[in-house]
Amino acid sequence: MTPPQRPLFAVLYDAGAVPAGEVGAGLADLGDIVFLVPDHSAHVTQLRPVMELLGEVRTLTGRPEQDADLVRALAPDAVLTFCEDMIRPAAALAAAAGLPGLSPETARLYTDKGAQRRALRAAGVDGTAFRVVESPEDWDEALRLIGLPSLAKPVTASRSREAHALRTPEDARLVRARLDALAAEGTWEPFILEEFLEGRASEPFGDYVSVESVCTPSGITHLVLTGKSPVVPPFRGTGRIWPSHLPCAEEAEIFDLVTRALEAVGADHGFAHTELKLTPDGPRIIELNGRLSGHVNMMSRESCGLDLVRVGALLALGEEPYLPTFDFGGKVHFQYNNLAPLRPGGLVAVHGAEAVRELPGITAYRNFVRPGDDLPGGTSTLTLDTISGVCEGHEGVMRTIDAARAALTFEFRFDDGVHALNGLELPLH
Amino acid sequence: MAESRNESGGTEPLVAGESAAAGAGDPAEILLGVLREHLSVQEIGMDDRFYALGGDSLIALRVLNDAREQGVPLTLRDLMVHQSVRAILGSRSAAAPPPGGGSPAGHGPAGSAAPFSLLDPEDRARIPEGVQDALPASALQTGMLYLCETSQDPLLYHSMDGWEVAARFDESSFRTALDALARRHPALRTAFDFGGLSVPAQLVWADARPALTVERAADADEGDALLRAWCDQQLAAPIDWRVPSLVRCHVVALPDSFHTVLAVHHAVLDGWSLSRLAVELMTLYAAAHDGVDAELPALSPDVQHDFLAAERRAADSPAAAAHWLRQADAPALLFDAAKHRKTPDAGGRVEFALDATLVRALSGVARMLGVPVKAVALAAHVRALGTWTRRDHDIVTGLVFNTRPESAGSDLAAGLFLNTLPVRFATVDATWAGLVRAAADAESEGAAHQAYPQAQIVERLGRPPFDVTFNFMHFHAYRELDRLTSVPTRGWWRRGKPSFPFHVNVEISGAEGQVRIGFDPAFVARTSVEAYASTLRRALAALVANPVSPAAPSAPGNKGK
Repeated sequence: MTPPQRPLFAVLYDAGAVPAGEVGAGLADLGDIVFLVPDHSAHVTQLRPVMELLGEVRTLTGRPEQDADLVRALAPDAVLTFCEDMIRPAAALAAAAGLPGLSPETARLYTDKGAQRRALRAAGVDGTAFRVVESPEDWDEALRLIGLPSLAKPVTASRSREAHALRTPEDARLVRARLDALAAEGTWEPFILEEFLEGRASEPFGDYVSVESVCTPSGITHLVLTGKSPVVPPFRGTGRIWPSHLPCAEEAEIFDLVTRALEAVGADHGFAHTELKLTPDGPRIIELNGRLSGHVNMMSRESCGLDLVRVGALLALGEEPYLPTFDFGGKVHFQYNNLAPLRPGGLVAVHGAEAVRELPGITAYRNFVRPGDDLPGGTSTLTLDTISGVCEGHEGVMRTIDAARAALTFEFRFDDGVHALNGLELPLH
Repeated sequence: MAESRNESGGTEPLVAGESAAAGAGDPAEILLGVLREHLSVQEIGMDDRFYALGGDSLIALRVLNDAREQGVPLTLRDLMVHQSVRAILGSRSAAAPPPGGGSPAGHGPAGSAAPFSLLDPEDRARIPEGVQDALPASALQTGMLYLCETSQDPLLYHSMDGWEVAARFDESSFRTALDALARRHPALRTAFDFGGLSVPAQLVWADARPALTVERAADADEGDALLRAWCDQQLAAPIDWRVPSLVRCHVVALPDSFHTVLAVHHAVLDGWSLSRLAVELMTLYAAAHDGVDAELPALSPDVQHDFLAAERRAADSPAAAAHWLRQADAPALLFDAAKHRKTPDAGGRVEFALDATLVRALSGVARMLGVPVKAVALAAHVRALGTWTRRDHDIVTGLVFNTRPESAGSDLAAGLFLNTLPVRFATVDATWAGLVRAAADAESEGAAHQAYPQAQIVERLGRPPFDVTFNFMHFHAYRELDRLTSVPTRGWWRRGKPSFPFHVNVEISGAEGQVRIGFDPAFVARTSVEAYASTLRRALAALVANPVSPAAPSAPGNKGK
């Protein structure tokens, strides 16, 4: 018998929600992989040997016509990506190859947070005040219209890079200075300044949630409402909790809001990751992302045996996998990430990993940064590790996370010498 | 992790062989050593998972290179998909010999396929005239025939496959087709010799042919009556397994249609083979009738030899012995030892249909999770067993493994290529998706050792290794019938009686399916079997309603979320 031909998946790849090894594991039984990677990516350089063992690796030029020619020559059966920066090229290449994918317009609305706010407002889904700051000269007028408190971030925001909270005139002055510095460095990009959505008291959890959804031409399914551990300054997410601590009625209200928001941007293909603030007046959209959320694939594999890379691949093939909302039967799964300090430095050592793995409620502990690695510092979220676990209810979750954090000591080399920081102290640095 | 390292109390002495047998060069020890080094974790068990111990793809590369240098042909996909040493070694790609390594001398396809090559030289001199090949009987065949003799139950292992052809019977073409089928498949010319040689043997006779009887009926009622009478008469007397052929064919011809029955001894044919034979018989018949070439694909002569060679290797493998004892050595699920003194007489039947919506949903869940549909059905079965027996740990079920060798064309060979072996689920309280994956892993881990004779587990345990068996059947061969436009078939049926006291069969045919449960009322009461069937039905419904929810059958009367 001739074995059926294995489909070929073109995966646009760079640092993103799913690392190359997980992409390979998810697609292993489905077909062959050609990784399409950008030129000049440190992450791609580091992971290239992994990708080469999993499939073919081809470099994109960044020139749409040439890249479309490349994809047409490869003739894949599906195009997919798990990387924010690749959403638009993936949409364009899927369209060029005549394969299922996001429409280029929806890809634009996912990745341009200014255009996204306009679309949500036009559809009556969200009325958050905002202004797009196309150049530093627009700043003063935008600030006058939006006022304080407010939030500034690049319109292509990802991983909370350059996200700034403005509560006082002094904050506003510092952000303005930062924008001027970016312009002077030649790294200016448009920003969005928007009304700050004040969260309600939610301790011990974070005052925001996210919704992980699957979009297909026949409808939108919300897989899970993800609760959060509190952010560390300025807006860096630290942990995910399945299911969230919110009651069913509020979950339904949030799912309904997210459905309307995704419909407003024309989402009919692939994963969506929507972040929402829990305000005293109800849930408000923070932003929509046209991809899987970071770490969520491993969390899904660990907690329910479901590989979301595979699901994404089936979607990319044009199939409609049957996926109802996750139900954990009363158990609460979580992941927590210790984050690299805002100060630049280097990791010298991590102590306590084996002790963490032995703690009750902890199921896995993984490091992403190795001793000797340099850490750039700054507001971009850089995760040092993942602590995974499961509790019988929500009460024990933050206690279990804190016990694991307390069992870890990180040694960093900063410009003033080596510092040993307990996991609980990390957010202060 | 702690859970997976805990073996149940009684297990220790039996599984000790696993590490004792593991010397330098043992793939498990090599992998554990390499993982310890690269993950900087001192204690790593067979079931600890690569990611949970801090692994990532870059560490995986180093593990891969070191393992390969030490002779273990690990792939990156094996490590990242299967993660634990046990699952990696159970996966087919890692278990395969390294490229160029070949099979051990004397057991490989090249050495074993020559006629008589698996028999001792002195036995060859005793082979009767007219025998074109002789092989040792497999452990399963030997066990079956032994049970047939001791039970004196003529129904035992007596399988029948029947169907109706909606066209006038052409006897000459039918005889031509049956003759060609017998020439093509040694299994139709095989009988057994348990005394004349140094080992129980199967003899393949050159000229043996299945007996064909033909009766004529004037109308449908008479046809049905004749058919029933023939079947009853066949089933009243045991098949003499010493005399070829162990296959009989009966036709009841009506004016414009005919019934066909193939009655066979299960020791020479499994269910898949029987469906292939039925389809090939119809293909050959249509070709003879239409005066064209049937164009059946060529068969490999090596399959039965390869199977026996694999069984010999597995029988001598300490790793296989340890694997199956670990699966079986849990407290019995249903029956105490006294029950097993009796040969089961599983004449009881409870059945229910699987509608097209459910069958489609089972396929959809399998597709989403990347597992065979068999694993989805097995997960529902195991969860139903847990609920039914009120046990939430150490659920052991027999699982029918397809033991066809992986040689090219083995799917076309007719023979007995299956083995029922224990699989053990430490817990059944995961999500459905998790349980389905555990079911898929259990089968793929077992697949590396699936040729191991079940009788050897019984010997070591002193009892049957399981009380319940589960068989999943999806006979794709019948799809080929759609091409035979001059021979339209309908009304397919099958009957058979295995020696298990409680056996669960899930069969998918076309868009729909059926669950057939056979049981011996002396072992388990009908009401109890009906309770299990109802639980299984609800488990299947709950599973497809939400695969990412806790594995629990929906409550009776509750249609789910």
